[in-house]
Amino acid sequence: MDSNRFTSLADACRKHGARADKLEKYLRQGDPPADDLVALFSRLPPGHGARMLDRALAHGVGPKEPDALRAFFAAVEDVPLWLDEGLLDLGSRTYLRCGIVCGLVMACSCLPLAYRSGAASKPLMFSSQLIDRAVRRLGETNRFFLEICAPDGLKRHSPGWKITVKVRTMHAQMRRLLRQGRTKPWREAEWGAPVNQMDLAATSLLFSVSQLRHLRRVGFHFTAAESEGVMHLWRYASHLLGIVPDLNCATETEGRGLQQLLFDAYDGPDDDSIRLTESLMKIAAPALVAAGLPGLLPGDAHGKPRGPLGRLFRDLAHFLEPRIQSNAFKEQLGQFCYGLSQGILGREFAASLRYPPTAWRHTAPALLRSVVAPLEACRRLIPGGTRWAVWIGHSHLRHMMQTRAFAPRPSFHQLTQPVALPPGPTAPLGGPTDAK
Amino acid sequence: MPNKNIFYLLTDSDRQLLFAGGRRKTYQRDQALFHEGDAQPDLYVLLSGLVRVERLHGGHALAVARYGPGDVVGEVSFLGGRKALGTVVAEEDVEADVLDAVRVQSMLASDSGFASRFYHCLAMCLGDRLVHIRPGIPLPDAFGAAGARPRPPRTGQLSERQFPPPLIEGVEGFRNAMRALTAEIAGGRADAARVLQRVNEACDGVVDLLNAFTRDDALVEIGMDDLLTFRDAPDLARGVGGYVFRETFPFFMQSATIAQGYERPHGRAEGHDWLDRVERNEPEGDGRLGPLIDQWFLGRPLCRARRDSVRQTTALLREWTGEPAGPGPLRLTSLSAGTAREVFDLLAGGPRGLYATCIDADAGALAIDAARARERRRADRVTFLHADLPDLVAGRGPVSLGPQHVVYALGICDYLNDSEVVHLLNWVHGLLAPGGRVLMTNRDAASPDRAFAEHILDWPVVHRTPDEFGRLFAESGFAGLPVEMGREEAGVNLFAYCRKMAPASGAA
Repeated sequence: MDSNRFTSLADACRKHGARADKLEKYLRQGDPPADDLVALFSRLPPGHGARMLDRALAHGVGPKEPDALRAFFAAVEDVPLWLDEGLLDLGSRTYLRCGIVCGLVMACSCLPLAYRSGAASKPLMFSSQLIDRAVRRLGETNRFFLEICAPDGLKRHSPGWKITVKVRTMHAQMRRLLRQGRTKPWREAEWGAPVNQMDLAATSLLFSVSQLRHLRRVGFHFTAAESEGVMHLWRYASHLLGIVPDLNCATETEGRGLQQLLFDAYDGPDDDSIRLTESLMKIAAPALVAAGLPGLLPGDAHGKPRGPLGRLFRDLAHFLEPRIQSNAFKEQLGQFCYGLSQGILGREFAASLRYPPTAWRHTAPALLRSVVAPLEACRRLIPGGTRWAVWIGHSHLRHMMQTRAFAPRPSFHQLTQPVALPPGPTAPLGGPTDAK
Repeated sequence: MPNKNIFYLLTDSDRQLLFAGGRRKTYQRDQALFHEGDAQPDLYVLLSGLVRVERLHGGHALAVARYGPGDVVGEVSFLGGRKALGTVVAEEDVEADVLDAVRVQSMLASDSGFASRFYHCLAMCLGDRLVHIRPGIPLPDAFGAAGARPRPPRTGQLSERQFPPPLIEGVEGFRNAMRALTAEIAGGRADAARVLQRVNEACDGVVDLLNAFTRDDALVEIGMDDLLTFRDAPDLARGVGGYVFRETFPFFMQSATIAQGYERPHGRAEGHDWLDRVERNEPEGDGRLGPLIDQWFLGRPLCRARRDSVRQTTALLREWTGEPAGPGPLRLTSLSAGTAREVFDLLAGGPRGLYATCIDADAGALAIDAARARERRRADRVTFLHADLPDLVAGRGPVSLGPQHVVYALGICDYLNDSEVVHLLNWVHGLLAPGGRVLMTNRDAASPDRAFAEHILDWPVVHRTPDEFGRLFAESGFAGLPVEMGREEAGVNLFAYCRKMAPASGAA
């Protein structure tokens, strides 16, 4: 099945008028500062580019550094006038308090939305690793997400900031590599530029607008300020990722409008979209959940047990873990993920990506909601409940990322600081670090 | 009279005086004008025909320069008052003005104005020739300077997570198979035919792995697996090849042909000795597996292609030299001649009026070829010219080749970039007589042994598709002329040949 994005773009232009005219430009546009930087790195001896980047991330760039590096860092170190650190912090805490559910919803609803366009998912199909090593890729996405959402994650010199900048160079390198294929050439005339501005913006909106919408559907409650915080967080992340201001939204309403326009401009799913979604639902998402479930037990279950209750949790964890990791359980988790995805995104969307029929389509969202909604109610009623929710969510996500399911470590080895919250009886957060 | 006139600074009366005492002499083909070591020879001003300057190398006379009408020979000995540095032999019937050295010396002593102009002319002539002597520093021009392509290092191109597991497993499987076979042979429990078959399978497996993982789509995938290495597809290919090279080196280097191809004893890939070994097709090697691996390699398309190419070239040359030509000898030039096997094959049954010039930068190789020519009693029909092709193409060589009926080069385009090939073709076009033919080969981009040659033998070969190769002809002096393209049986080499247009007035 062939996809031509310019045909569907023309349809969107007819529907949305002049507003959509610019999209063609963004469909062809990459990220010149990052593209120039990776072109420079490709000319350097092996390892020099990565070291130069690490050095610049750690210490900044001096006047004697190459022009491409200085131009790139001038772009990423530019602090926009609209940046509000308080809002960034609120945005990150909003996501962290959703814990594993945030990862689950992202895997089951946001990523399938990203795969909906056959042409937009082409860069992923050029690496069969996304299918063969779907777990690792999802782990990387989760880690990126987690580091951005960590407290002060997007401050200069923080791990989240560095990872975001690295991800921008990775996009540029992907763009460069995809254009080097001859046997399986990148069809720029039909697909636009690889990892173009339009797709970058669409992905950013999935992590902000769609994620908020889908989390609400499974029972989370967000205030207007929290919504603004999340949008602000992703607006700044998008700025760091090189997305043009035109496609960078400040509010949820604005984001919803742009997202609708982009969805209308997308071509439909093709066989590649179906394969990608299948690998996500059958392999990666169940692995993510299986890695996260043991972490729901209190910290003592995984560390040195203290007291009879600690020993009970430890024994329970030992009992549950092999069962959770069994193939039969993961298969059921896969069905659950399909059900949750279908419940959130609707039957029509599920049919377009050929979801297998599953009884979970009604029960999964309801079940999740039945757990999340009461906890959310408690959070809102109990003083300090939100702070506790953030602490639990963050420590749980971090625990999950350290499980064997997500090894080997993602390529952007970074360290996040533990959350300085709250005083409590359990061990400090953060766990073993993976700094290099 | 020749167009070239090195005594252009002399006045008419100078010239009259100088040539009045000279003798006009004619020399027949293969007759020496003077010999290396002769006491101060006279000055020879060539009026027609070609002469070659020969010097002894390993007991064999090799041509080091070739001069034509308007050139002067004997000038170095004249100036230094020393013995002749080389033998000058007529390549064809030559007419020359011979100026008596003693008489010229006395003229120079008696007329200071004449002396000044005369020495100025000789100085200009020697200056031109000095330019041709390269002290190992590449001259900044289009041909040759661009040929020095830096190759990326083998190491550091791939990060740990980029090594594809099937590649690692495949290479490990090869090593295990080779170790097992060595043990079986040592234990005396191996069936020879079966061992050879297993060696072939294991070695073919490595070639298949290299081909699979150096394809550009595989490289894009490898690159995507760790984007932060910032490597392009050719660098990643070097990384994959480097890994296979390191892991298989102890086994492949037991084969004499592979080892020699890799070592390049004379600094050239596909040197004379290597080509000779491939053409002989007699497996040799060290250890128990060496001869078997050698046998496998000699049967690979890369080696078969060499043998096929010689046969195919001989057939083409025979067809072309069998066509009716104009008066005078039929001239053929082989560029980077190597073993010149096709020349010998052609001379064995070709037309009697055929004369060949074999040009190569490897004096040792030419000496061997010269000895072979003498053994076969063909020395009178072949000139072995020691010269660097880039120099000749750039017009720096002390060589006048004269109009050629056929010029061919096997494999030389494999080592030249596009602009160099176009320069070469332009030069060949200028060299060919009207109606003359050029034949060039280039390694095919679809060659089944491309990855093995690049990564195991470490040959910096430029592969081209038929379209790419044909386009170079279209950009050269052969533009607009029909270029025929073919492949030899093994599918490794492209053959492209073209005929220079005869002038319209000459067309029947």
